[in-house]
Amino acid sequence: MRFRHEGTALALAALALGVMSADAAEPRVTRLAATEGAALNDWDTRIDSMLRAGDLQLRRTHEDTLLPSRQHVRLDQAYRGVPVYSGQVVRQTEGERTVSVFGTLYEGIDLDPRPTLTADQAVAVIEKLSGADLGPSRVPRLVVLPRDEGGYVLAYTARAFTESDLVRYFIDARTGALVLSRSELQRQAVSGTGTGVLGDRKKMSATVGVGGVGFIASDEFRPPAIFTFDMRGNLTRTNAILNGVVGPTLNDVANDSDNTWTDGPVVDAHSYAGWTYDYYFLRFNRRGLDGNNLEVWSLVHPVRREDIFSASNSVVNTFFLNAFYAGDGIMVYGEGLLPSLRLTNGQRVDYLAGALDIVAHELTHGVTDYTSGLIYQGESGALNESFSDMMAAAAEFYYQGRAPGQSDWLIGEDAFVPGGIRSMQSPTVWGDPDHYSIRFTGPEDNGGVHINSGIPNHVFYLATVGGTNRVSGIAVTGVGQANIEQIEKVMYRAFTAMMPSSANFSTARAVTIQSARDLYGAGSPAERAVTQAWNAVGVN
Amino acid sequence: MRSTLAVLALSTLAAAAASAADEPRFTVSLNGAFAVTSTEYDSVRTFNAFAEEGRIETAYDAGSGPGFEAGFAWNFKRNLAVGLAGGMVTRDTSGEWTASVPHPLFLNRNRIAEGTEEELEYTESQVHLDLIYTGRSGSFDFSAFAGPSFFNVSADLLGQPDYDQSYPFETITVTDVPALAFDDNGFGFNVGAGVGYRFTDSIGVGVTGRFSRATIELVPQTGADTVEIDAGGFQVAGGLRIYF
Ligand SMILES: [Zn+2]
Repeated sequence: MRFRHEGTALALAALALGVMSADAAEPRVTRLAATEGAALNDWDTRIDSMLRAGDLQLRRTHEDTLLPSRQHVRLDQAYRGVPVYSGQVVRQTEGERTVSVFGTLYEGIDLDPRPTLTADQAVAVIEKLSGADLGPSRVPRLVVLPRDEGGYVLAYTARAFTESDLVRYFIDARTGALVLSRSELQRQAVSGTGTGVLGDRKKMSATVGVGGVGFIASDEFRPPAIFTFDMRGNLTRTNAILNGVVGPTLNDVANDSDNTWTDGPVVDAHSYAGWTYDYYFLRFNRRGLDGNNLEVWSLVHPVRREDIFSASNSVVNTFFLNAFYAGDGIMVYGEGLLPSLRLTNGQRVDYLAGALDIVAHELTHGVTDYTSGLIYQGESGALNESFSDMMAAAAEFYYQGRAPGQSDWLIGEDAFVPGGIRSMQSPTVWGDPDHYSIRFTGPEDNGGVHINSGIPNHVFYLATVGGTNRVSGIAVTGVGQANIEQIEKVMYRAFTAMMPSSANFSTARAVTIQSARDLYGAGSPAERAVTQAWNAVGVN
Repeated sequence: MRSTLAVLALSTLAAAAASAADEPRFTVSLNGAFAVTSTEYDSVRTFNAFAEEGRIETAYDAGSGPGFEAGFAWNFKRNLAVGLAGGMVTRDTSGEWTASVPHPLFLNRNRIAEGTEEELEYTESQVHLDLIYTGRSGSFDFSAFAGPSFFNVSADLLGQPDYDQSYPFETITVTDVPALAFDDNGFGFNVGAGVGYRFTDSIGVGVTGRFSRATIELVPQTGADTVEIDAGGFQVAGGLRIYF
């Protein structure tokens, strides 16, 4: 019943956009539109010579049905026999006379046109990426692909119908890496509204569904793509996606017919992923988990609540009572318990996605993954957990009045009712230490990563609110709840920029004090509060 | 408006033909006009954006402005006449607007923008049917008049703004506030006085001052509040007089 943090490596799947390094010169693009005079003559001559050299190849001849004397010839650009993707010229003629030339030509191509991958190998890559079966008739085309960011790459391209999207893939013909993929279906961002787990209304950033039918939980307003997948209780498929065996398809994306969303866990997982992105952006100017707008996938309904009676203990602990960050921007939210069921401590458990602090906690594990990489064992592991709790509580305070529950120093209180699972104000309420002298030293829980997190959690609380430590009796003058932003920034900066992956509590003390000093100056209230707080919990 | 003007003119002419009053005289006046007083009105337009309601509230100031007026009077008695005057004025109009545009990602977090649109179109067409008391002293003549008025007001009202926005969508930059003309009619009254000077028995000049008032309701949007405009105000006119 603790949030688990797993670093499962996942394959980049269908909806992602891959980027490779360029291997050739800057592409020079010529967009030609010649209809008269010398320009037309020059291009006419040049096209003829390109045709002779094989740099242009006839694609199609089209008789003009409206002007019967005219003819249109469509020519594809080729480089040493390989078509140049999107390089094309259309020449209109009347008898011997050329009337107009329009097109796009690429220059400066310099690459080896021989692939090392076979077409069959490219098919296998695309099938793996898309989860679709291409079938024998879908032979990928070898092309020279001009890159938006410069250069050219020799690539195989094919379109794959996933369950409800049409995606074009470009696979590097030498390395087999994904160069580019894009949906060839039109997408349109649209705002909807939804009702969360706790019955609160909020906005849903959705996208018009395929073919203009319905709406899908794909956030296209925010800079990163944020998808929410409805696993419809299919644990087998959930695991297959988490293990990279299959990629999710557009059919897995949660959907709603009228854009008034009523599935609480979908609404909350989707909107809170966006809120957390916004919190990091607006507070710290951070762009997503990796600082580069990594896609965020939230998986909800991994199981059905009524299946709990046949589920193993590990499934119950993982997919009913837990939420976890699975690496690579992927979150899984547990289903909670049937309303008639209680934990042994009397708590009922709602959908975990319904708690903003749980969502922010899990996403912060992603931030840690891409920054300090705090090792998930012992004190560094407890610091990893604690940073997630700090940002979770901070995000809740940030949205005070907008999120349905009360902002507080409890973690998970909106899903684990009553009381949540941890308290930053009084860690001992949940059996967690509030002083270094009573830290957990056993091997369980990776050396108590969810237990000893109580100590730095209490530092965050004391530095903000102030108070006296229960064990040491040392009083802390906090910066005050109104100035929580200072402690948030101290911690964010310390944990993302300065903290080594193997930090122990003592290192964390030094790093956070330095961070406060850098940000607010030596002797500042923030520096004093952080220093006093570490003193109070017995970390020197 | 035109048809009403024609009907009123015809009825006056019919009255002229039917009457056998002493010393019948007709006066035609051709004036330049100027609306002196300004009028203020407000509009509220709503629109749907990002699954919420947005609105733009505008306070308009239709200031003074030029126009013209033509009149025709028939003295059916020595000191009494009926007159029909019609004209048009345009007003120098601006609108101070406040737009509230829903946030694409959050409920109840509308972005607010403010601005002023200048050079909005405002046209007031008026027809006044008056009973006129006339007097004469040498080359001067005087008049005082009152009667019902018919107004048509065509005014630009501001609608859903065009704007640019980008993540995190905290603000909007309004790029254009489209103005669309709406018009409607209404009845009111007018009262005023004039003085003329005759160069000859048939040609002269004159000025009038007139206060008129009518409330016009424009309906820019079904189901929304109407826009009430107090048309008229104080207007001066001056120009040629032809007597016959
Ligand atoms: Zn965690």
